[in-house]
Amino acid sequence: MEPATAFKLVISILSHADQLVSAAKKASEVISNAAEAGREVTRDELMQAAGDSQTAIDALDQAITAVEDEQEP
Amino acid sequence: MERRWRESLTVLVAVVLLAALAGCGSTGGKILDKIGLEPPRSTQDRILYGYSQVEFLAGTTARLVQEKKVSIETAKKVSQSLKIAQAGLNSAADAYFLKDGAGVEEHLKRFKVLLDEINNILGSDTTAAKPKPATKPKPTSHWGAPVTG
Repeated sequence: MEPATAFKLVISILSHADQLVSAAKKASEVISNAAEAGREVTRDELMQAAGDSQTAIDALDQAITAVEDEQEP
Repeated sequence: MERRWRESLTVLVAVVLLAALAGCGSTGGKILDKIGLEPPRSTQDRILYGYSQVEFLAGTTARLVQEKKVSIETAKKVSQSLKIAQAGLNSAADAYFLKDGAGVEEHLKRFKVLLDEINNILGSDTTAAKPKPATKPKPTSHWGAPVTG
């Protein structure tokens, strides 16, 4: 892979830093809330996070399908 | 000038967060503490952060697909790996809550390997650089068989 290509891709990924910060903050908030309440992260909270990441995976599949449909003649 | 400085800062913060989320050492964790993001400590925390990494990678890849900065093939590979990673985290959560933690570490180790693989898949995509050149047709004889020699 050419350095210029790698650089462009890294910049593309980093340009979505808001998404990274948002995902990390959400997880951090759950952990903080649990700590403040004097308990550990519950199974329900983990299941909620699992649901959110599954939704993101489904959205990725939908984006792939949309671009594939667009490319079809 | 100020805008450029702000962009540089955003990139820097993103790099630090990426390193911290990937569990690359204590420095990232300390910086996360300073900016109000707690680093994962317990097993549940690590699973929770794992889900947030999956969410981030899926969301980012979806946007890269829409912007046509990665190929469909790459995106499909990433999606497949993310599904396996997600299933691994689900197994880790089940192991923690239902099986007294037996097997959790193995699931989390495999998850880390998968994340590295996904990063490699995304990093090896060359779509962002240039369009693929048209493949040159191989010479064939008059009835269509490939010419040899």
